[in-house]
Amino acid sequence: MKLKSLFTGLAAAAIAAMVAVSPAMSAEEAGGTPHYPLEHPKHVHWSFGGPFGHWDVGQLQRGFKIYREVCSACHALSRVAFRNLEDLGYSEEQIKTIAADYTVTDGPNGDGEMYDRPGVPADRFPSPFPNKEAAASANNGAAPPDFSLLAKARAPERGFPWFIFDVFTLYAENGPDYIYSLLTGYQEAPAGTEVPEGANYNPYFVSGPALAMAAPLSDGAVTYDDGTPETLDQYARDVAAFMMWAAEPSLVERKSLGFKVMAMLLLLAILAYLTKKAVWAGLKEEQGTAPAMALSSAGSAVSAPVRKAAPKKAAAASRSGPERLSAPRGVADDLKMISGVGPKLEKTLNGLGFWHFAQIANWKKADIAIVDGELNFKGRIERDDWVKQAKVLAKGGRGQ
Amino acid sequence: MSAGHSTYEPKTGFGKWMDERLPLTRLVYDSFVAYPVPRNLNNWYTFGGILSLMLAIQLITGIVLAMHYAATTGVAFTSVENIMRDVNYGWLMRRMHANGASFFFIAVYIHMFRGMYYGSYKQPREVLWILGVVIFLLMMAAAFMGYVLPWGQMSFWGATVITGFFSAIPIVGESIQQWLLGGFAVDNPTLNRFFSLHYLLPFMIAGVVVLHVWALHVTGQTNPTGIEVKNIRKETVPFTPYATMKDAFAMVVFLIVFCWFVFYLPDYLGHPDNYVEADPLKTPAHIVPEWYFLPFYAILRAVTFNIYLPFTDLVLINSKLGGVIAMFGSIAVLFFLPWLDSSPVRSATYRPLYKQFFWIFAGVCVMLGWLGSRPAEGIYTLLAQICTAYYFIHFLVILPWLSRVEKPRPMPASIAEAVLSKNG
Repeated sequence: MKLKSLFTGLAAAAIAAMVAVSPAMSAEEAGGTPHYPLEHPKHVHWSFGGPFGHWDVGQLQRGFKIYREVCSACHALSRVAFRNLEDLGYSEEQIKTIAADYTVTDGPNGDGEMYDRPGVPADRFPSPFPNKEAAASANNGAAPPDFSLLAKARAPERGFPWFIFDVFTLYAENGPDYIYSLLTGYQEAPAGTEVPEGANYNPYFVSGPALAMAAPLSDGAVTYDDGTPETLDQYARDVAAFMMWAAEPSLVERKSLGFKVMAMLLLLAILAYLTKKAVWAGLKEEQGTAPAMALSSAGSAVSAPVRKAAPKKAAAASRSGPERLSAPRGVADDLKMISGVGPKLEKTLNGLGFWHFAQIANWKKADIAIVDGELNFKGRIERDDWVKQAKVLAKGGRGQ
Repeated sequence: MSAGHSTYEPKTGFGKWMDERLPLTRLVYDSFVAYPVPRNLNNWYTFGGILSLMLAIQLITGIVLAMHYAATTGVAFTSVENIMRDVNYGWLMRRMHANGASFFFIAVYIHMFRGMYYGSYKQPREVLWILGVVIFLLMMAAAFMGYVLPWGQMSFWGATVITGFFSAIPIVGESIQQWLLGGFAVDNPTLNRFFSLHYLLPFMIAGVVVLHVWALHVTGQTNPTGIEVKNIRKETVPFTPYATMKDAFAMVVFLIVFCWFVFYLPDYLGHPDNYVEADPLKTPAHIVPEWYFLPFYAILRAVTFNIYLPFTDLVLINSKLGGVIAMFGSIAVLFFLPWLDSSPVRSATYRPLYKQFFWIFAGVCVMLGWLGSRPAEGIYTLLAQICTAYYFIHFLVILPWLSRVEKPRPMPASIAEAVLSKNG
C-alpha cells in the first residue's frame, strides 16, 4: 500500500508540473524572448457564436461598406464572388449593381488581347494589386494579406487550460476577436519597447510587438445610414464579422445543419440504447444466466434465480439448486463413467461446477430439473438415471 | 474465419447452390453473426467497430473530395477553398474528412491503450497485435500525407520537417530524402506523389484490417478478466445481435462527439496557419504537426545532444539522428511488446502493480503530447527528455521487471466466476 501511495503521489506531481509549468514559462519569457501576441484578444459577443449562431445581416452590410471604403484599397478579397453577397441580404439587382462598379480584366478576346469590362455576379472581387510583389512594394515591403481567409488564419493559441473549456463552451470566435482587438488595440508603445521604423505598436498583433499597417479606422471614418454609432469600436466589430463571413460563408448553414444532425443522432442513440438493452435482457432471461454464473469458490450455492422453464417444484425447493464447485476437491472424478456422459458432456458438467460423483448423487428432483434445463436435455438425466449411477460410482462400485 | 466449425445452413435453393461454389455468405455469417464473443466485454471493446466505421467515413468522404481536388502546387490550396465554398456540401465533406482523421486517431489510441490495459497482445494474440501496429503505422503515413494536400503553411513546413528526418540517416540519407521528395525540396512532385499514396494507403489499411479481424477471429477476443473462454455456451454470446447492438450504440455515441467537432468546432483540432497558402520563403514561427503526432514529435525533439564514442570526441550519433532513432524506436518498441511483457496474467485487473504503471505511462504519453505542442526550449525540453526516458523505461525495464516480481491478485477460475464475484 505504501507503494500505491507513492505512485499516486507521482501521478499527482506530474499533473501539478503540467499546471505549474505553463505560467512559469510565461514568467520566464517575460524576461527572455517574448511570446506573441503580447495580449490575449478581447472577447466580443458575436451573433454567429454558439450552436445557434446566425449572421447579423445589417452588421455584415456595414462591415462590407467598411471593406469597400477603407480596406479594399490595400486588401484583396479574391476568394469571394459578388454572387456570394446574397448572404448579406442583397437582391440580385443590387448585386449586379455592386459588381458593375468594379472593373474586371478578362480575355484574351478573339484578337488575343486582354480587355477590361464591368464585373458581373459570377466574378470574384478584383484585387487592388496585380500581384504580391506589387502589393509589397507599394506597402513598405509587407504585402497586405488577402481578407478571404484571414478570420480563420489568425487565431492566437488559447493555452492551457482554456483549450479544454472551449470544447464545452464551443468558443470558436478566436479569429474575429483577434481582428477586433487588433483594430482597437493601437496604442503608444510602453517605455523600453523598441518599435522598428515605420511600424506601429500593437500588443494584440500575432507575430511581433508592432505591425506595418497603421491604425486603419477611427471614429467617424465611415458613414452609416442605419443609425449605428460611427465609432471605432463599432467599425471594428462590423468589419470583423464581415471578415468571418468572408472566411466561412457556410458557417451558419453548418451550425443549423449541425443541430438537425445532432438531434437525429441523439434520437438514434436512445433507440440504439433501448434496443441493446432489450436484446441483452432477453439473453439473461433465456439463458438463465444466474445458475450458470452462480459459482462460488467456497462451494456454497449462491442464491440462484431458477430458470423460467424449470418446474415450480424447483422454485419451491428449500435449497436453491444443486451444490456446485468452481474447482474439484482434489482430483476430479471421471464423469464419463456414467453411461450417457461423453467427454464433451463431462466438460460441460465441469463448466457448470460438477466434478464429483458425490455431487450428482445428491441431486434431488428439483436439481435434476435445473441441470436438465441448463444442459438442454429433455429428461435425459432421469432417463439414464445419472443419480443412481453416480451413487454407485461414488461408493467406488462400477456402474452397469 | 472463425475458430471451430461453421453452423451456417443455407435456407434457399440459390443459397445452397452458391454456398457450394463461393461460400461468401457463410464467411460473413460465421464471422459476424454466429461468431462467439465473450459476454463480459465492456464498452472499451467497442472501439474496434468504431474504427472500421471511421475508416469507412474517411474512404467515402475522401473519394468525393478527390473528385474536386487538384494536386498541383499552383491550385491545390484554391481547389480546397473551392470545395469549401462552391461544391455542394463540399464544406461538410472536407470538415468530416479533416476531423475524421483526428477522430480516427482518438479511437485508435483508445483501442491501443485498451489492448495494453487488458494485455490483449499476449500469447496467443501476438500476430493480432503486430498487425494492429502495422495498421497504426500505415495510418500515420496516410494522415501525414493527407495533411500536406491542402497546401497550407503547416502542410508545407510539416512536410519539410518530416521528410528532413530521412536526411539524418548517415551516407544514404540525402539520397533517400531526394527520392522521397522527387527533388531537392518539397514541391510539385512531392505533392503529386503524396496525393497518389494518400489515395493508396487507405486501401492497404483496409487490407491489413481484414488480416487483423481474421487473426482476431482465430484466437477469439480477450475480455476484461483476461481469462480464456472455457465454456462457449455460458461465457459467450453470438456476435449478432449482442455485440452488433452494443457496437451500434457505441458508434452512435462516438458519432455524436465527432459531429460536435465537425459542426461546432471544425477548426479546433487544426492549425490556423493552414489557412495561409504554402509559402516556401516564409517559415512559420512554430512548426507543429497535427495533435495526434505530438507525443512522437516531443520524443523527436527531446534528443538535443550528440552521443559520443565512449572516452573520445568522436560523434557516434548526432542529435538529429538520435532524435529520429528515438522517434522511430518509440513505435518500433510496440512490435516487441508481447515479448517484453512476459507476465502470464493478461488483465491489469489482476496485476496491482502493472495497473499503476499503466496509468503513469498513459499520463506520460499525454504529457509528451502537450510538450510536443510547446516550443522546444527551456524547461519544456527537460520535461520532454524525462518523459521520453520514461517512455522507453516503461517498455524496456519496467515491463520485463514487473513480469518477474509482481504477485498477481488471485484469479477467478473462469469468466463466469469473475462476473459473479463482481455482480454477486
